[in-house]
Amino acid sequence: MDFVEVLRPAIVDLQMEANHKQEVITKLAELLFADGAILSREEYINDVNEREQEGPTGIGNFVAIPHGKSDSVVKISVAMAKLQSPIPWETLDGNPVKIVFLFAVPKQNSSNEHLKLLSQLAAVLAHDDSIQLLLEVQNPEDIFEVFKSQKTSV
Amino acid sequence: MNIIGVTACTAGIAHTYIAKEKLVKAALEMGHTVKIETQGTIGTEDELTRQDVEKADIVIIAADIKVGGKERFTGKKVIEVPMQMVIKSPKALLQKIEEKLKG
Repeated sequence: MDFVEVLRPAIVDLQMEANHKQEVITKLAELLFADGAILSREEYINDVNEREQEGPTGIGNFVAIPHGKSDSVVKISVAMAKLQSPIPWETLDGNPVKIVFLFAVPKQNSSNEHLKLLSQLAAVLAHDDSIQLLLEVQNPEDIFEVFKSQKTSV
Repeated sequence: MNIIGVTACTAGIAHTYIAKEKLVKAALEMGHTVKIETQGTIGTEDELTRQDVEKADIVIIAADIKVGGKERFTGKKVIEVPMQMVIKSPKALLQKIEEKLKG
């Protein structure tokens, strides 16, 4: 079991051009759809936005982690975007966002192993030094290295 | 301090685990011992045992939703904080708690 199982290169865009939050979510949902992780873009985006209403998903440090539990998800996944220029987002430290991780989780019958992987991935994002490295990476392989190298307690 | 706690968020996918990690990291860096239970989509992990609770100086509940098993902490010093506070400034939170406990 490896992070690459949920954060696949096909759903990573390290040079995304987007001007606002909805554009990022839509573009990442496109990637998830093309990769066969979700069945409906509209339904999934609706579920993500529903979660957005409940409170900020910008965790500070230029990172946002929007997520949706949705019936449209068929493969637990994390899509990732690094943005060409920072965009506004509801964040805990008031800073804009440069990296977005969009979590896709089915509403039911989720595999625990993959959920565990998601929780470990989230835990890595709690470390400032990991974020620093993620802000610098240029290719998907390096991303996996960042996640693998960080020891977490989760 | 001997810190124990529970984290839980609405979706139980991401914030629960980020909050745990932030609390653990901050606590260890400040020289405390720490154990945090997560109540997320996977279910309860690192569940706090009766011994954990007995030994604890403080119980931190960081949640946006109702957490299960609060009765375990009866008689302990329990502090409930929003998830956001733990993610934003875990060290400041622990400092404040430490000051309060010292009275």
